[in-house]
Amino acid sequence: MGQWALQFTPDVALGQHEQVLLLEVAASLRLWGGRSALLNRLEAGLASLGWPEPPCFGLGTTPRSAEWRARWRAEGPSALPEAPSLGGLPLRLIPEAQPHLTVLQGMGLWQLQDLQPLPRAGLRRRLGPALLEAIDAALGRVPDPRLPLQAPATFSQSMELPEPSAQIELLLLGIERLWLACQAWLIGLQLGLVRLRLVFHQGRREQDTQAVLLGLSEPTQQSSRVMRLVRERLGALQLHQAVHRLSWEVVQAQPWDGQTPSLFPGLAQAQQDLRGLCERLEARLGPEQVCVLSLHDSHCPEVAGQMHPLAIDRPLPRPSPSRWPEAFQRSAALQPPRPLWLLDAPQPLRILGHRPCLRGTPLRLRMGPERIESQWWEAPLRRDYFVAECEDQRLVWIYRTPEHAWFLHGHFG
Amino acid sequence: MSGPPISLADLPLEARHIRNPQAIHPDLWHASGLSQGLAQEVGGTLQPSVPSGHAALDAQLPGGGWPSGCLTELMVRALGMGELRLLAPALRLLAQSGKQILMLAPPSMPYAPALAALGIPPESFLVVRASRGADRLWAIEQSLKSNSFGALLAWLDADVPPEALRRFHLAARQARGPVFLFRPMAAQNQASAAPLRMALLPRGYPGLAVQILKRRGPVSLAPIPIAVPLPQRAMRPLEDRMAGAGVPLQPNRSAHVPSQHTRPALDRLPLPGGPLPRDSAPHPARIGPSFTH
Repeated sequence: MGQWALQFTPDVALGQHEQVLLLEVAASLRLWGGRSALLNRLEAGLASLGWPEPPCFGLGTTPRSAEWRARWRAEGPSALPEAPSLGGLPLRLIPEAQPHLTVLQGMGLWQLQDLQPLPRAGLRRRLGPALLEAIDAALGRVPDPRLPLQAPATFSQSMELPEPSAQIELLLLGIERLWLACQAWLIGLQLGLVRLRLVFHQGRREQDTQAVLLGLSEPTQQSSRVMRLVRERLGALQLHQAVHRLSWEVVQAQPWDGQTPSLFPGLAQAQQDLRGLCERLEARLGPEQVCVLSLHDSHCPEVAGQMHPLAIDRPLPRPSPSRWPEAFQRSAALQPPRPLWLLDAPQPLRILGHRPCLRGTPLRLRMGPERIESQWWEAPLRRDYFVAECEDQRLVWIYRTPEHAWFLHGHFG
Repeated sequence: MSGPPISLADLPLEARHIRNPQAIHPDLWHASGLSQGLAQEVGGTLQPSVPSGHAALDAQLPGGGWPSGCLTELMVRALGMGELRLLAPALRLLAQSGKQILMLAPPSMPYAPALAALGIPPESFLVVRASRGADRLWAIEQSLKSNSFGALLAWLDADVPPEALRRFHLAARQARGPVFLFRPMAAQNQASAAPLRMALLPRGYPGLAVQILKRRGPVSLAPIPIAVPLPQRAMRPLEDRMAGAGVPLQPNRSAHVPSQHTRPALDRLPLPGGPLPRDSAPHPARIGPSFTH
């Protein structure tokens, strides 16, 4: 709970009573849109965490007064959270007054306002210093420092399911609750989630687990994005057995500087949508199924143009128009022809009547040859490339080795 | 409101000849002419289309180019017909404005140097591989819904369920860029929700003919011839006679020197033609390391 509340303010402390949590909100009221908006948000957040009863809020200028008001309000619905004065507070709600309750009631003192006009020296002699100090602290006459809660450096949380299940929909409910806790942790530490591990505990033994590693293309705190990714991944997951416990571990998180909304939805928005799309595609299709193309300075055709899996946490390659002046295109156009489709492995061609054949029909050579040789320190490569035309007037890229074997290497798309 | 029924003859002359019916509603056009484009999902204005770069084709396409936010089906017989060269001018335009081009399940690896020669930066491509048919359809729909691409190129099998195409069509209406679906020729007889369908017919290099099968406008009967030359011109074309015969290229088992009747043809071959030597002479560079000992 305390860890969860850290998303609203960095100053969270435990109260004297075990069910009380103290939040210093004066500095962040504007951020959350005012007092009532913050209270609504807290209430909704607690409900989504599965808290059975709605909370009782008490507001005060000091930690003690807030705590006392909250407990006072829990007594009956009549008392307001921001009651102007603590005077009507029953003394039995003050923890420091508990040992002296019979004495106080014997003296006819029931409320705080009954105590205030009495001489302090006499009260101190009869009741000890603790009660008076507590009242002074509540009214702001003496300082009342609290030790704030610290968020842990790493996040790892588990949850027992009410009953073992292999149904994705039921598991998702549990996962969503774990994510809410994780999100609070992220917000509290101003981090963005990059990589996480979901562990499904099955069976009786501790090692009967299935783990899923998920990555995001950029740090995020956005619920919709994370849960969508989890949903896609779970859709493709085959669970061996019913799951009785879920664990959510944050493997990697990065400082997150928030989203800057732009006035016009432009290219930046499209880039962000595209990242989200790549994440979802990778989650469903597999880690190396989204690829980027790259150009290399090499004579070897296989090296010159390559396809690499998109690194999940690296930025997308951005085409920059300035890097592609007309001159580059002109110089590229002076090079010998290259096919738009390259085969993964050259495909051997049959020879019929001294001519290479593709699917039984001879090819007509249209352009060439172009000799491509590799450097001596590399694997020997010696090929004569030709542009050939098929029977159905398609263009293909074929080559001949020194052994006079012919291979198909690409199509002119 | 009651009154005498209005017949067409009662209307003033200018009302009978509405110049631009799409000003009244974007989905309205004269049956004898081409639609000016497709209505945008939001706002009801016309989606801008991307010029195809081929004037003859632009004149026949509704909106004067590849329509955005709409499926365009291209029937292709086999790989290597010039299908990417046909799209290259439009893709270049999109890539130059910094937009990403998504390729879904291409039949082979797109080759970066050839794309660069066409003036399309290879960085502007994202290639998604999906081997299973169901995954492929899912990936296309997700991509269409995300609406974050400059252009989408997807390759489909012949047996795509029509309801999947219907879903793609609805999802594509919100897209900001053109969507090209490549399908085999066999698919041209199947019903499809795509508003624009065309078949690519091979012609001799550098030709290509585009037969429009379906469009928002009158039926187009004649295939439109388009030239899609290779961007590179450095290699001299082999002469037809020689290339067809393939004589100077045959493996000559008897001698290194080509036989007498092939010699004149060999002279006309561009550099560095001629058959490779059977037993390759030691490469000067390859003996390099032995000197270092």
